[in-house]
Amino acid sequence: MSVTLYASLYYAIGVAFMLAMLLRQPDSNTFRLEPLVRRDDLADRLMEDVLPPLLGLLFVVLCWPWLIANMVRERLFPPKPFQREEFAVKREEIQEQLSIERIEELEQVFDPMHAAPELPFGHLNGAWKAFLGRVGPASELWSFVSVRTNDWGTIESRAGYVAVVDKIPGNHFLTRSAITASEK
Amino acid sequence: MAMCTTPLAYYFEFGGTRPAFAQQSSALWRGYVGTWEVRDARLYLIGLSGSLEDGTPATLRTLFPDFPDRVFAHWFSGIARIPQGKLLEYVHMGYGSKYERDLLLSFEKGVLQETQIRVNGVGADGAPENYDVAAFTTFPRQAR
Repeated sequence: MSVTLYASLYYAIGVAFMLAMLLRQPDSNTFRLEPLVRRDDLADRLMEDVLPPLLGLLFVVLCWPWLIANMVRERLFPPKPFQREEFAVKREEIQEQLSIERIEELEQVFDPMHAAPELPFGHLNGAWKAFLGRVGPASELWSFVSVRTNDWGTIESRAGYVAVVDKIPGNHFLTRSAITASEK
Repeated sequence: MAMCTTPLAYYFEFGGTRPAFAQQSSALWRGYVGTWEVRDARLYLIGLSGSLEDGTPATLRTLFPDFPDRVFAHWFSGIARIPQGKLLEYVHMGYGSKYERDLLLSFEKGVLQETQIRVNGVGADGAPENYDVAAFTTFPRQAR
């Protein structure tokens, strides 16, 4: 067979694969892109509305073997879903040992407009009670402050209370959390 | 005014019960919009709109049955950013877009401590004003 015939066959398979992909994803028809900032310029609109799908279709027609190989690989070896590392208090982050009564005194909520329960931790009183239910009798309660740099280079600050057994921090109750700054 | 901070997210992070909000569009992954008020130097949640995955509307009463009109955000300590003026730089992600000014409200346990205005620059003539998203994808209920 001539090179032209091979090329024609290659592109024909590519077009068939592209059509098969379009037909296999009916959901894509129900998703709607709704631009709020619409440019009037024809060139801009072509760039936004016509060029991206055209390039996408062209990519499928030209690179279908690579796409099929990827689909097979993902079917055989499904990628693991991303799991964020669970926050746990470190020993060096604990600050001061406090009694339950002292914590509840510090965290008593009062609002003059009565828009919160007048209880320790207010709207989060139920969560606090649930936390206390998970704290064993041998545990001490300590305040903690954690400031760490994450993988993105930003600083994550957290504070709250943690149950400590034999100087090892366990269950915690968060009272503040923030991404405070970018590390330069 | 749009606020580029989500104080209610901290309520959920700290142990508040989060209902299963329906994700309706890529402009609102969290599935709800809260309406906030600063009154007498205190931050209040005075409205919530969204819907749950079962199709029922989500309101303030859904989250705080005993406080259906006003909820004191005592759990929030941090800075609330309120962009103002013309758009300087559009970033199609999170709250990355930059506007002429940022009104920064600093709260400690829901009580206003400090107010600052940060000037970021001067916008070009005709630049869009007020916070918005340039494009988003809606997720029809039957497609989820």
